[in-house]
Formats: sequence, C-alpha cells, structure tokens
Amino acid sequence: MEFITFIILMMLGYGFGTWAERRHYKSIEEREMKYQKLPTIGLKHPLPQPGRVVKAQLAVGNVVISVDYFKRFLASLRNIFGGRVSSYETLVDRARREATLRMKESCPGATQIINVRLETASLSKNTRKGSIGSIEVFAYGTAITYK
Amino acid sequence: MEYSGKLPTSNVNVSQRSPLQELCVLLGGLLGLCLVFYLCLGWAVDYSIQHISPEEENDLYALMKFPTGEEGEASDQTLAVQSLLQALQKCAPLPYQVSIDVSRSKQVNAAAFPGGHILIFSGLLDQMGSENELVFVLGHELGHFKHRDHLRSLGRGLVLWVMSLFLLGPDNDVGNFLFTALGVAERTHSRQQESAADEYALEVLNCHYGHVGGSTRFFEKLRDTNQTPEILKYYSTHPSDQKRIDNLNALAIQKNFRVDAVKPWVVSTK
Repeated sequence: MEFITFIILMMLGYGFGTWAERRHYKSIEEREMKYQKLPTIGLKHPLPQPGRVVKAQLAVGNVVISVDYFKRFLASLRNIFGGRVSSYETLVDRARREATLRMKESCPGATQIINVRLETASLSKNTRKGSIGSIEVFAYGTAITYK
Repeated sequence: MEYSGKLPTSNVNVSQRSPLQELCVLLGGLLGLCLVFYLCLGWAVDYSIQHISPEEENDLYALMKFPTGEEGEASDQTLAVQSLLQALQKCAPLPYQVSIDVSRSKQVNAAAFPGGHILIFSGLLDQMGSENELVFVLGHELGHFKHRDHLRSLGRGLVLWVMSLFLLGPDNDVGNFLFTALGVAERTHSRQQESAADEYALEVLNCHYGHVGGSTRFFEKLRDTNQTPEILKYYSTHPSDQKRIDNLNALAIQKNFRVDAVKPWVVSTK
C-alpha cells in the first residue's frame, strides 16, 4: 500500500512538476523579452543618461516556489552520493528570474533600477515527511525615472 | 555609452540532463549497494545463528518484547495443547525447553519465538477438526525451531531495519521505499523455510501416530475459505495452500507414509 502511494506521488510530482515548470519558463521568457529595455544593475550610481531624475523609488519583487515530490526524492538520493543537485537547479533559477521580473513589474515607467540585490531564503529547512521544501527569493533595488 | 539589453540564447544554470535518467542511475546504484550489504549481512546472520545457544535465546526472548498468551490460570484448552506438545517432543528432539501459550484472538496463526516459545492463537485452535491437524501445526512450528528459522527471520529483519536507520534515518522516504522493495525478495526466503517446516511436521505426525492422516486437512480448509488472487501470491509469506497440499501428498507417497483415520479434537475453551 505504501509502495503504491509512493509511486502515485512520484508520478503526480513528475507530471505536474514538469508541466508547471515548462509553463513558468515560458512566462518568464516572454516577460523577460518585454522588459529587456529596462536595465537592472548592481552599481550604486545610475548609468549616464540624458535628462534629469524625476522619481526615485524602492522596487521590490518577491517569490516563493515549492519543490515537487519527485524533485525532492531525487535530491534526497543525490544527498547520499553527492554531486550537482540538478533537480533543484531549475527551482532556484526560476525563483531568481521571477523575483527580478516582479521587481521590474512593480515600477512601470522606470528608466533603470540600480543597486539591485537578491536575497535567498529556504522556507523549511527540514524536509521531513509532511513539511514542504520551498525557496523564497527577494529582489530589491532603487528604481529611477528620468525625464 | 548607450545601454542595449540582450537576453542570453541558452540557460547555462540548468542541467539539460533528463531527471528520469538521473533517477534511474541513482536508484539503481542505491538498490544495488543495499542489496550487496543486505546479502553480506544476511550471510553473517545465517552463520552466527548456528552459534547461539538455547540459553542465549532465552535471554533474547526476555530482552525483546514478544506477544504473550493469556494471563492468569490456564484454560483446559491451553493445558490440552501443552500436554500434546510434551508428548510430541519424543518425536522431535530439540535442544529447547519448548513451551506453548494460547492467545485469545480470532487470528488463524501460530508463531515461533526465540528460546522455544510457541504462541498459538485460539482462532487457529477453533479451526482444528482433529488432533492430527493440531499435531501437524505444532510439528510445523517445531520445524521452525529445528531449522532455526525464527532466529533467521528475526536477524534479517533486524539487519534491514538497522540498515535503513543508519543509511537514511528514521521515517525517510527513500528508506520506506527500499524497505518495501527488499521485503518482497525476503519473503521468498521465508517461503522455502515454510516448505521445509511442513516436511518436518509430516515426519513428526508420522512418528506420533504411525500415519499421516489429517496432514493436509487444515490447508484444504484454508484453500476453500481464502481465495487469494494469483497475483498476490508472490507477496504472501506462505506458499499457496494448494501448493502445500500437493507437496505434502507427494512427500507422503515418496516416504511410504500411511494415511489412516484421524483422532477427534474436542476441548472446551472454558
């Protein structure tokens, strides 16, 4: 019985996980294309730009993404042998890009976002049965609008 | 300098390898490793149980919490079973002080514990149509003692449990998965033991009565009441009832055992 539950959970995890991931990547790529003209930089000073600054505001973007059953099982197997935890790579990649995109979306009309920082937190440290392994990425910076 | 945003053409942060392929490689490797460990430790168990004395088994029995029979004064049924077992020991010389307890339960089963302790459930006693059937069941449990199966299954179970605990910690997804996967293979081992115990029981029955009447009667009853689908048989610890009946009949013919009338078994439960 336990074995059947396990197989079903693995199949559900793989099926829905892959579907959700593909959909998310598609959305990320479309929005990145849309916002590619808005530079986000880590420097404290804006890139040289004609005109004068009319607005400077805090821009934040935050996202929490959870891992599916299949990925978690794969990662716990990886824990035994060591090596690249490739099943978590897409998770972190998606979270960073999504947080950056949300930060960009939070300040429509901005000319550039400077001093951009990314913070990462894991929401549940122990992935015991019943708890959920998720990652939070928080992106913040200063959005500057020129005129 | 004017800024012109450009997106990378490929994502280098994510492995392109299929997760399913990774799963197969990792799981195969882990299962293989565990199997090797398990087989080695299994052999170690088989080797070491030959060196455990009955006294040490008794200590083991006291140390571990095994289920026991009814509390208080023994009923007529318990006394009758106990005296029957005493009589049987002439036919089954074992280095144990064999004892038997009756547990009040509807379960149709009996179990052999370390140190020569047998636990029989009253559900099984109620099914007995004759004394010969009961002698066969008792002989079967004595057979387990003779072949030291009770220690073997205990030892292997312990190995499996300790291995999962050490490798993966308690209540782990991977551990539970391995436990189920290896448990299936382990049961074949125990099916061979059951057949060997059946053979021993037949010898005991023949020695006690001078014939083997009633040896298959109990399994015939089980077969008629319990229709297990064929697919589930691999997962059951005991060989199928029909297979056991066939084995016993073939063995009786091979050894020239007679089949005579059986002795009735009527003992009140009070």
